[in-house]
Amino acid sequence: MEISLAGIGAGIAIGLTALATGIAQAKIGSAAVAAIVEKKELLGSMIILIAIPETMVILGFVIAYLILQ
Amino acid sequence: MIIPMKRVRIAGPVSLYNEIISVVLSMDVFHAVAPSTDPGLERKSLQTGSLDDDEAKTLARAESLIKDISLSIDLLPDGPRPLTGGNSAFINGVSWLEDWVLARFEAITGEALSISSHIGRLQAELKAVETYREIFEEFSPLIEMVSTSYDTELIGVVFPAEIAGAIDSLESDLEKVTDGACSVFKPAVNELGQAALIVIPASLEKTVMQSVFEKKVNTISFPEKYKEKTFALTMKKLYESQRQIESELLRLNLQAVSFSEKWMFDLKTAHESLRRAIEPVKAENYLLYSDSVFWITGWAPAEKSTELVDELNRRFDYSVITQRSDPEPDEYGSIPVTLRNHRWVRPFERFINLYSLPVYGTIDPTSIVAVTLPLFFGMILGDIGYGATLAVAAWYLRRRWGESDLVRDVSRILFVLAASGVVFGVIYGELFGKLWASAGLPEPLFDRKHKTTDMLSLVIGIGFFHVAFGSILGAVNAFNVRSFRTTAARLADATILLSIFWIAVTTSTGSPATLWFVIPATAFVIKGVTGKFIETVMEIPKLISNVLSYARLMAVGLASITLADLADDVAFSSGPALVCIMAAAAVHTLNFALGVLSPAIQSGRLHYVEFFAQFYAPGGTPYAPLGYK
Repeated sequence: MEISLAGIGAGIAIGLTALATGIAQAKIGSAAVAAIVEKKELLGSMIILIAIPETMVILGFVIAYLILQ
Repeated sequence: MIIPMKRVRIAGPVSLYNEIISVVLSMDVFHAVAPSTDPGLERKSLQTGSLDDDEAKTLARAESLIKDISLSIDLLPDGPRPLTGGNSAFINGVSWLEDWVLARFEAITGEALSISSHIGRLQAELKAVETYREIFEEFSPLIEMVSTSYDTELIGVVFPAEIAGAIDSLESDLEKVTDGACSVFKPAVNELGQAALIVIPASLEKTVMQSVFEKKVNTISFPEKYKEKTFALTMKKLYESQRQIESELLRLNLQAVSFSEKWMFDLKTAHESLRRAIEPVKAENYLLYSDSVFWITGWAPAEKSTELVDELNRRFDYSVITQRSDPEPDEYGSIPVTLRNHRWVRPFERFINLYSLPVYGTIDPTSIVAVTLPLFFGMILGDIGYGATLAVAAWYLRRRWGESDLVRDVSRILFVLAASGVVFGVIYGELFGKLWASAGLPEPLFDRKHKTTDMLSLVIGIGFFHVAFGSILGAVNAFNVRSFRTTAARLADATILLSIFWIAVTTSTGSPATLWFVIPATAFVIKGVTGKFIETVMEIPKLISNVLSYARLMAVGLASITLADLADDVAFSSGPALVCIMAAAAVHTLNFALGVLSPAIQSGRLHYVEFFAQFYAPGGTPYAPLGYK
């Protein structure tokens, strides 16, 4: 029972953060592409903006890993 | 490193302006800046050399013409005969920025671009004809019949090859909506995919088009010029036009060759001459002058600035006054930046340029990135097979398109990344997943697949050091511009991170670490005193989150191993050997593509976001000297 709950918890930790990352990146990504088309010099800044939400899923992964350990 | 610059001021008699500026331009080292940015030239009574409206228009016109000439040279074919003097009599000794010269070359480039664009249009039309030729020939009686009938209509659709089978589904849908009053003719699948001609009663056209759009199928489209009332008539007209298009294309190609023979020499001469002619005009924008004297100010690389000054003194026998000085920290933001690194490291400058040049007076991280980027990439990829495959891809890229600087640099970077992947593959004992173990090779030095906790600890530890190193570089940057508060804050960041790391290590080995907490607490207080308290409180979780972000070095690698193992399990499963091998190859190919793309993005991100955030000052002005090169 405990193992099952841990598994569910880990799944929620990674699943929700992945979902949040996906939603955030989709919005930032589409805006970034539009901005880069207008101004190519923004490429570097846009890569950073797109990459920032990824931290959520990585933190989710760490939490999931700690739960399963 | 960022090449050190010197401020160079040049003053001379107005009567010698043209000669002096000509020497400056020929040296190609002087990056001129507006006199208003030079505190040494604050003389209100002097006039600035900004261009008047007419001059500005002429400059813009010449710059646009240079682009058009360049495009014309690229588009026009090389003639069979070597270039000679061409038609050049009229350009001998002309003043290149005169109105009639610009107008003449605008007319020549206009004609060249018109011929090229006409050729391009006809080639597109010919391609459209050739693409549908087979369909037309196979169904010409049908098209002929429909094109002369008022009651029937023809619709052409095309499915991409990978969903060619969906035509059957569309056919059954159309059967239903038309009560069987339609016929679908399917030519063989070709490069377009599966095309189909749908014959329907004209009255049902809207209904059928609705079904076609619902299926998200592409209808066949033709160049606007051939559009007729119906699809069948358009197709017929296009087919009948083929010979006409071919003969027109031949005529235009001959015209282009003859045009090229006549004008190419002049175009190339004009391109070079116009480029040389506009540079002195551009330089005028940066002038400051009185009735008898002019000044111009700018930047030049320290070593080249000596050559520039020596040359001016030699040529003008000290009737030119030059002054060189070191930049002040408050000028750093406006000083042009150019990087110089060892040739092995130089390709990684592209990684820095992709983001933004660093501001002058700060650290150029190219050399650091050239070590840590491959290190992180290798840690994630860590497979001998994938690394070797990437090396072969890099070698092929260089061999195939090696004449381009960009491709050469990219292939060098890929080769270093591949080598790192192979080295970590040996450390992890991974060869296309499990083949290392299957081949009975020795135990790996570090089995990351089974020692996941150790791997996670290792990458987080690397994160602590990498981010702390970034903070130390930030302290150096701040110290260079005499910002001592920021220097202290950055050093406090590094101290906090390294001491937390040390506490984590000692605690995990069972030693009590109570007293060690004094160090990060003290650093935190120093940071709070040197900056704003709220910002300090907010920054600590950010630093820790930056460090935890390095967990991706383990997480992404773990995903890659799982896919590689899956491919090996498929290869050695009990199904038919050929099918198993093909399925395994497909999964390995997918994993290789993901395994190269993902580590490259993740390693890049760790640098751009986590590492650069601690010290990097983007927004450097690119060094663009006035000159003829």
